[in-house]
Amino acid sequence: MNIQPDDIEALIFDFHEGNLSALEKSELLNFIHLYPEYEKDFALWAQSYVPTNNSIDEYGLTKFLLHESTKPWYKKPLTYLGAPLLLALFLSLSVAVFNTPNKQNEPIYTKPKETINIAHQVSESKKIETPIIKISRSSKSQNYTKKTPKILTIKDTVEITKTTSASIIENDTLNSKNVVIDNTEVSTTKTSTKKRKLNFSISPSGSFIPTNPNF
Amino acid sequence: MTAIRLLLYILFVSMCTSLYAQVQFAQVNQLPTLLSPSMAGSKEQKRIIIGANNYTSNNENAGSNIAIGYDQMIKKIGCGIGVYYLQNNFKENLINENDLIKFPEDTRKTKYYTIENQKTTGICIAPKYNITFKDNPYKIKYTFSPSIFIELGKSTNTMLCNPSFEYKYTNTPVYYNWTEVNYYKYSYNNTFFRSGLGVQLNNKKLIVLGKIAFTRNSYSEQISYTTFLISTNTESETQPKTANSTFYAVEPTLHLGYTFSKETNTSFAFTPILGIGMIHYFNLDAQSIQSDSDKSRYNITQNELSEINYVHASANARYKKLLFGAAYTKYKSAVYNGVTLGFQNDHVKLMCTMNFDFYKAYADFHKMEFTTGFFF
Repeated sequence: MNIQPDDIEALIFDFHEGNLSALEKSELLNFIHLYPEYEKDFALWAQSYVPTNNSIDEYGLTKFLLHESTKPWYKKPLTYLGAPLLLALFLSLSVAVFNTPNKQNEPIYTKPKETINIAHQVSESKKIETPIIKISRSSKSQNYTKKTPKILTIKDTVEITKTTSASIIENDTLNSKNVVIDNTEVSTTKTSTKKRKLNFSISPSGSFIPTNPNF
Repeated sequence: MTAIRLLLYILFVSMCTSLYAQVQFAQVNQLPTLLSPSMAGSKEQKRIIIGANNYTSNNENAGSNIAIGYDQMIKKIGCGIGVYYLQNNFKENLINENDLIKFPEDTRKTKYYTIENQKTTGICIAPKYNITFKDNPYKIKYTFSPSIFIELGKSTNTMLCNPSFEYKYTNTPVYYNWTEVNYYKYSYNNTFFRSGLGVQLNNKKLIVLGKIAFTRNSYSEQISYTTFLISTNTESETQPKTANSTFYAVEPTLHLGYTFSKETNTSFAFTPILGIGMIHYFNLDAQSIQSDSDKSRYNITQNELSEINYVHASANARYKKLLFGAAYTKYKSAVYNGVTLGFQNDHVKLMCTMNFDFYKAYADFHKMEFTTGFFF
């Protein structure tokens, strides 16, 4: 197509009307690229052009791509229901956490085939005028599946008895005993996988998971 | 007379007035809106369902069911809606065959002496909510769909029964007089209104369906006492007595289904479905129960009655477009079971069920079921 300067306006008009073929369109655009003085005309025609129909196929993607306007938090009805519940949950958790005594001496033995000797022998009781403190140590082993380690937990419980003549007695239940962890396959503790949090939409949605066609 | 009425009432409640809140089909998954109202719009396409079954027996019960339904998803409001219609017919003989010879000739010619017809129509709406991942709100983990439904229905029953029926249900000895035969003519007309809730939770493989229905039954019954004199071949009937009453029922149902396949559209998929339902009646008029009545069967207390009245189990397999499997549904005294064959593509799902004795030429029990779904 031989583009003459006299025809350029008519061609730009046809371009926006959609009357040009793909080849003609590309030729016109090349021409405008070569002669930038026509760009202004092209832009003006583009602005004056009013599209009548949106012939672009929807494909249902608009809803996914466009962000829906979300209500502010204070306008959501669940806030008024959820806030007291969350507060109650927070308070109960706080009480549960801060009321729990600190647990000490709870080693997790993870090394395979290791003999653990825990032998705290008190050579002699020291007679001091303090309450009797009994420390009893109990062990508990937990069996997991084949690939998970066997974890040995040792808990200390402390009992305090009021008395005038007192002595420190450490009663170790594991004294002079060999504790063998027989699960040798895994030597590290399994790290828990992080669960993804779920969100429940409070408004019905037209896009959903249809029921299984096999059902 | 009160005892007889009570017995008939028990029969009315426990056997005939099943009210069919559950699906009386072997392939319950083919009738989704009847299974749970939350299934309305559960496909992205519009859906029409048609189901029909028929079973006959030489010695046992007989009946037929027809179901038609339509549901679709309205994406603008994110809700599915559905309408459905169900028609049931149930027949049973309560006259002992040994005593039948003593009845008038016209009565003997009748094939069934208890016939119940019921028509139910319902509408349901089920909004769909998505449970998504917080870090990716466009990825849907589950779809949750609560629903409500309303049903209206009417059932009628005509029944003949003789003292052997009384003997059967009370264990009270009845001494027959060979010169005459006594029997009862009983009929009722029941109008019921049912509403309830449904829930559905599903992903691509799992589906959990729940439904709870509350029914208000308003019925009028009529009973008359008839004596047939064999020697003179004459029949005398007492003036019929009528009574009106109202009672209520609650029926929860639960269904579970899971598809074992790599993907939903793989060539082979296996989907077992399990379901259970129970019914509990309130405000029954039974004032007193005989100590020797059959409590173990009906679990009757003074004014309530509850039982597990619905069990379903089916194994559904699909190989490409071919469907096959087996299904078992027990609803009250009726059993719907058999092997299933079918065909499925994007627009049609056809299934046909034949009872397990279908290959026997002289089987006592015959059953055939045909269900189909059209998607467009």
